[in-house]
Amino acid sequence: MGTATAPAIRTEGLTKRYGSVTAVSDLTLEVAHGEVVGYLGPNGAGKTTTIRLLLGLAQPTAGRSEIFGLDSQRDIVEAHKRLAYCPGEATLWPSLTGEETLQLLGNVQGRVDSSYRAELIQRFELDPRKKVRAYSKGNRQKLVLIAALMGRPDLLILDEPTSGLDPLMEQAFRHSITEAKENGQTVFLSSHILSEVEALCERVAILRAGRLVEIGTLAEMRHLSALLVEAVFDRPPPDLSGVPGITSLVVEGNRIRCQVQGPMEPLLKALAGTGVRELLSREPSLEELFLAHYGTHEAPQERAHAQR
Amino acid sequence: MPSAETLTRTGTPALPAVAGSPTTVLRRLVARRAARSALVWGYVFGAYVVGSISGFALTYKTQVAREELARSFGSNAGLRALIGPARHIDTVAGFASWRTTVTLTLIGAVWGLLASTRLLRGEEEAGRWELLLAGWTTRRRAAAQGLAGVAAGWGVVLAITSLAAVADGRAVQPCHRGGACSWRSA
Repeated sequence: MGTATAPAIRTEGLTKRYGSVTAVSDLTLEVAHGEVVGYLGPNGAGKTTTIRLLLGLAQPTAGRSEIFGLDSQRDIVEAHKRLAYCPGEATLWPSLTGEETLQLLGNVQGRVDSSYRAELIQRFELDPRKKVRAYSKGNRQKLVLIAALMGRPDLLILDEPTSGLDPLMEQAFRHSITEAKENGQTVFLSSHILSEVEALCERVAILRAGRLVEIGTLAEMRHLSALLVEAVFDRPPPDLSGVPGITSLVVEGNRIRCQVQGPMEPLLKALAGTGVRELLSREPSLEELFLAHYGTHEAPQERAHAQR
Repeated sequence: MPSAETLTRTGTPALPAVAGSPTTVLRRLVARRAARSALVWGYVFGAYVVGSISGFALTYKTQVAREELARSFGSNAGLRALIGPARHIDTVAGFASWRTTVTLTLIGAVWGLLASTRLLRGEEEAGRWELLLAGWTTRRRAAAQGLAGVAAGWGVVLAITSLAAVADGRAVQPCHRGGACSWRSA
């Protein structure tokens, strides 16, 4: 049985192989009570496989995982009583209405806070009277999100929960997760949207090719943050290679692209009076960060693992 | 089963119970879905039984004709191999059971196989079971509940077919000894 002091999630050397393909390799991870943890990685990194292992939907090749001290494979029912799961791709029953689907999923979870469910329906602007087949992808995603949140479980396992949601609903999602956090619930948020994870999570775990390559608080991981900057000039661009913080500089005619780590000020100073016609800066996608930081080199933890 | 209150340690208030038990929700879902198709097949099977009974009563109106039928079919080795030995086929019940049992069992078995594949493997393949398996169940229990749901569908088929057989069988007047047989208005 689980103990009151056991972490919400604990994995030890968790490994899953499908034939010759290793989906998750030697994953050791701990998520404390009431913590909001982001689980990041590009497509195919092994995020969903980890979640399937945590839920007991797949059996590990090696290692073990626990939910509140309960073995995810042996004490499935007891573990599931404490959690709710939201998949990234909502495949639902087309002939049921939204209301019936929520009722069904409420029954599956064994508990529903009906007033909170009504609040969530309003917050996510969902019409529950419609049949699921009439819902857009975003509305179906809202439905599974509401289903996961409405029981106020101790642990929320969310697998790319905002795929298909518009920016307004993304805000509603963030509000709901903040609320869950204030309520003391633990959230395990798998995502490849860095800004979402940055806004919500206290700790972040980064997975690449099934291996945990980084784990830590956001402050510890700031070294990963870099802005992508693109500028168009009305004349040949100046030489920016010596500007502090500039990496991956590419010059194409009157256009430059680069990454800026740290403050933007040195770049802005260097651009002053150089005939900048357009200036665009954006947060790089996680994949771009991976390409920049790990693209051709092994991460420290991967190297250590290989040497073992 | 623990109460909702014992499930949470996060300070949230006790949650109201949901309708039905979370441990049987899967069986009820599969049974509901199986029953829909079972209703259609129940009517088809019922119509086949009614057709057999009515056809027999209309074609073989006298006891003499029925005994003649029993003599000719009773010794037919080919038919015996296909649909089993013809016993008491000079009676409505005997003829109906001889004519329909094997055929309907075979069709019913194929329906059961297809229905269980669609409702279990098909649902899993579509990804719908993941949400259900994240509930208060295990894969083994879920499969057992799913099969119980399909069995409930089978029960619906059986019930409709039996009702049709009993109702139509009772509508047929038994033959008088050595005399004519007739229909009785229900």
